[in-house]
Amino acid sequence: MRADEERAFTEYAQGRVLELRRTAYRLCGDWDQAHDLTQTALIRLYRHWTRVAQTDSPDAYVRRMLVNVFLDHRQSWWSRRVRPFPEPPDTPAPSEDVADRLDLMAALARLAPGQRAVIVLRFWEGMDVAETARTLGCSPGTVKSQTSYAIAALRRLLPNYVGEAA
Amino acid sequence: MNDQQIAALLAAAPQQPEPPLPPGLLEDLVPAARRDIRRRRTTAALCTVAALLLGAGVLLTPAGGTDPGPAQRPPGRAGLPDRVAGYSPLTGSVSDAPPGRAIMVYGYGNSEMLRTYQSLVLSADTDAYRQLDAMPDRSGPWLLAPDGRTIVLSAADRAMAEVQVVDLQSGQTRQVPLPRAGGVTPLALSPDGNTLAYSIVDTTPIAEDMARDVGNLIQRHATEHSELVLLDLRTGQATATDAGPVSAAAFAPDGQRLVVQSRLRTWLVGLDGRRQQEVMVPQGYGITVHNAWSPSGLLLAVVPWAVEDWGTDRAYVLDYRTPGAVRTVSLAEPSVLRGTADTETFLGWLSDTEVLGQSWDYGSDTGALWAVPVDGRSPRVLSRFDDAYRCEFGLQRCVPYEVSVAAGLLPELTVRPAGPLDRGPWPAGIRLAALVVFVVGAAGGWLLRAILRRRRGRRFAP
Repeated sequence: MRADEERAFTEYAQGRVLELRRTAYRLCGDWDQAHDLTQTALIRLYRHWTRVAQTDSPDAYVRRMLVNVFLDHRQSWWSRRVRPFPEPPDTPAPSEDVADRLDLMAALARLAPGQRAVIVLRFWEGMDVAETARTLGCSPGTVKSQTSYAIAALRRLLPNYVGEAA
Repeated sequence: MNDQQIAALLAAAPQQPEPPLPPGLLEDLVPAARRDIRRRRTTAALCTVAALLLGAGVLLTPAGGTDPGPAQRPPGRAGLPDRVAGYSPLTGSVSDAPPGRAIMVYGYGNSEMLRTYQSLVLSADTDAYRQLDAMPDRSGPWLLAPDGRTIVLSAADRAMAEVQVVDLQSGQTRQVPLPRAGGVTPLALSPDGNTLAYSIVDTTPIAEDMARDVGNLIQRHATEHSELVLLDLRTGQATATDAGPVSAAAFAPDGQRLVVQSRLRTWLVGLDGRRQQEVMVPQGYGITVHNAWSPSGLLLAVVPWAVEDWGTDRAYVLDYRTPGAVRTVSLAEPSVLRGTADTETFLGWLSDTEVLGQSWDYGSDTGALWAVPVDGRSPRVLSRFDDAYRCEFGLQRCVPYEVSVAAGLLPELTVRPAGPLDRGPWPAGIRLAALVVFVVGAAGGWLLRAILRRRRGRRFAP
């Protein structure tokens, strides 16, 4: 990679790293793991930067890389045997806000990785169906069906939220 | 719960304060990415080299691995698998991976619509099969030495000035020049495999018919017009005999004399080439074409012979019209027919009371090798040929042709269950074709990957 390209990549990474890390955290629910996912996605981006930089939407490209890194990681042997979310520590009972957040993250963690990615991209990142489909590399119909399954699962996992949100 | 409720739920979820970026995440990003690229390139290069070396090793190495080939294993008792393996074009060649001593050499295939044929050697010690690449595309005038270590080859359709001797230990083929050229039919090899008895005939009178590719012409012409020659395969020294014309011969177990079929008469001939005495076998009978002399030296296998006379010429042939074809006589009283062995083709003696025959097994509907008692009792199957439809691209069964056995190994022969096949490395032509397919496939895969990556990249383009 040429020096000017490398400089452009560094500027881009600095400008997007927090946003990417936030998406990564929403996908995996763990800050340490989010750092790893972000760094891995940016390293992948470096490999393809010459081509990505010429596109109009490097953000979409790198977001797709991040989701792929997350899904790859979830399919690995190690991650299938080690729970990314430990049991809540044996500490004093958290406040109500913290407890709600733990419930939500625990419910998301119990979704299949693909369904979790659909929920995060559509409802947390605010993408429409087409954008989500492009980012996940699947058809809009798959996004719709996975969304439906994920919502059904969340309905079972978060019975307390149903009433509040309805 | 619907889409809006989910969105509201996530938006209303209390936010956790974001921790600071870990030190070095951004600073080490570019060096880590450079290392990642270097590691990927190195891995890709190493994998490519390893795949090429592995592919080249598998495809081009004549005999890979550390397992000693059949030729290097010390021989025990000679054995015959109870099932002869089916046809496979992937069977390796004798010169690439010598099989060691063999129990039989045979042609195998079928040519009803499409020609699929192999000349095969079956090891006497393992389930190793090899193609006889010195004579790959037709069976015919060949002889497996009694000890199974060499094969003598001639040609059925042209005059020869030498015979080929294939060493099954080394896989090498050498030429042994003949005193004069002619139509050569190998008839017998001495027990040590060093002396070849062959008939030679002038092919000039039959040149026209040979040009028309008439089958077995030299062999038939030799029964009336040939001479018998004894050739020392080590020195090339030839001894002419006065025993011609000759149509069959067999060495005595001690290798000191031969029994020779000349027209409808049978003679004992010394190694000096002189006739010693006539063996007065019953009229109309003569010795089998190969391996007529029993292991004890006391008996001869005889079969009916007939003369075909068409006015201008004659030929002597086996008379298949006579039932109970293979009989035995003793040298002490040769005029009396003794045993009867019910077999279609006599191959050799297992003992003085049993012969090895090749006949169709109608129960299994396939060719088979049989132990046939000479006292008329029922024969028993030793080994069956494969009955699957493997020839002519699955249209036909394969049929064995011109089976020649190591007669000296038959008395000690054991039959063992057929084990894992050893077909040796693929033939050179198939290895080359596989290498081409491998390279083209790898290049195609690389190209496809590049195209897919380019298309994937374009999805994000405006």
